[in-house]
Amino acid sequence: MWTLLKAEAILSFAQFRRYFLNSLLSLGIMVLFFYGLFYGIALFVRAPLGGSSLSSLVLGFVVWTFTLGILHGIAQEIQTEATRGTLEQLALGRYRLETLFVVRSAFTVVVSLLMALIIVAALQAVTGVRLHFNPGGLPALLILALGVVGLSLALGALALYFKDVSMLFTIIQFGFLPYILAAKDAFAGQALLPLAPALHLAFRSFVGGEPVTTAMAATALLNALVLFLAGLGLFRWVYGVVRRKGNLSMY
Amino acid sequence: MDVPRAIVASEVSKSFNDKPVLVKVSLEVLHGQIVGLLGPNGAGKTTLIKIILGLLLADAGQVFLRTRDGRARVAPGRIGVVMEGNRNHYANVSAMTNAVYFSALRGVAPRVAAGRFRHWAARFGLDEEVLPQPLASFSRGMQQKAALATSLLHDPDFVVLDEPTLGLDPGSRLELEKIVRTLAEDGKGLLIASHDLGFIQRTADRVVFIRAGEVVLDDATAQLIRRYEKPWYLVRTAAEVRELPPAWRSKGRWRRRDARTLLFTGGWPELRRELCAAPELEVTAVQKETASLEDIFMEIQGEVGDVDAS
Repeated sequence: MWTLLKAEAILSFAQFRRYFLNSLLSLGIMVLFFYGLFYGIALFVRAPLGGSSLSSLVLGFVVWTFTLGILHGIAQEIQTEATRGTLEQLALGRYRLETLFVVRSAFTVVVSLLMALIIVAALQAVTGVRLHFNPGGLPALLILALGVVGLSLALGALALYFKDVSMLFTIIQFGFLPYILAAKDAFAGQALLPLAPALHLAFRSFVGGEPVTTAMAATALLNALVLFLAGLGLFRWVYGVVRRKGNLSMY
Repeated sequence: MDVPRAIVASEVSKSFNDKPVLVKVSLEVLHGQIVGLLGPNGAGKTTLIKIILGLLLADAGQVFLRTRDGRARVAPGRIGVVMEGNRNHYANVSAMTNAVYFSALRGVAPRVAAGRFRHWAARFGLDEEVLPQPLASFSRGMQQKAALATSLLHDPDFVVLDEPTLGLDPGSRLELEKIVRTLAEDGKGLLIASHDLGFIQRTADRVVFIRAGEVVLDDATAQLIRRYEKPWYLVRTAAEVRELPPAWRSKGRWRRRDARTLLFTGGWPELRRELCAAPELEVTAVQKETASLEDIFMEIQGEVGDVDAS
């Protein structure tokens, strides 16, 4: 697995260098976005910078980036690889296809999270604004990641079968931000909605508010685990179907 | 002691949309053996290869891959594969990055893969200076060399090559011949699908012909050539023969070798009759010819002038 991680790092770095200007611009967009968040909230709510509302908003954006990054990652990578024609070569490796795409997607997300973290830290230093995050919330983020990987595998399975599901990404992208922000607060039936308990747990753990209970954490973990296993099961089943149909590489 | 079998495909059948593509195809590749897989376009070669590699599931039949020590299960990633065409690498990154990445998927540490890639790239005639350049800037032949070199970095138990000589210049083709022989001598089993019949004739120990999804011939190459050896004749003419003379009765036995050379796949009395029937044809020489794999391919195909070979 370490070899695979190193390989993904080498490939990512090669692509970062190959498209240097684009990579730099994506960093610039992230800086502008956070800058907008920091000053935009002050402008719209006519309140001083900082406080829990800004922390929630920044966290909301980070969770949104993190979730969408993983969610899109697998399906988008499958589409790209299949269009390039390299999907079969990837399937011939020693790692299962789903493992490879989960690692690749996780690697990309961790890198973008690290970049986000550096930018937020720099902006805090520049603006003097202090965001209030509890580092003890990291396990909640991991639980969230487990569920998101499950959903992502399900999307990946759809991409394997239907070949192009890019419009689905667009729908998810627009619908997901309000969904994340809605899940911030507890509501009836939350436990049954995909990712909602993990999102709630992440907000509670990072930003504070009502204390995190064992029941809350257990519900989030169970929900994420069910999503993960369902996504994994669907991916493996669809992978078998496309291998039977013979359209693994036919895009 | 029996040579262990590397690849065993047993009565493999596959249909797409109720159209049979493979019908009870059986094939074996021993460790240390090179098997050439031949057949016209659409015969089912690539389908069979994909089933052997596990990229496609058969409707019926079984495929076993065995290690040299006879273990039934082969760890994933222990096969060296070059797929047909431009499907083996990322064109937007360098040859070296591709080699390191795809070898890592087969369990080779990046530093080790880089060293091995330099060695194999040199054997295939790729200069070290080009290795850090994007593959998109390579010619088709250079990309093929990089793909071939990459497929060997994890010291695979078997090697499966689909059209390996595509885009290779004659020198590189000869080098590839030497390399595949060395791999076989090292005990690896090689399955090579190709339309390059000369390459297969020079390298393969055994040849399997597939036509319309069925194995129509499976024999040792030398034996096959002997079996198909007939008193064939090369007929050289003073002028180019655009159309076969109408008086000839055995048109199915004539094949064009080049503008002024025809191959007659029949006996001398028959040839003499044909030549006498077409006095307008100025023959400069008639000489005996032994069978080549290309002739056998055409014989099996039973079609004149439709040689699907590079």
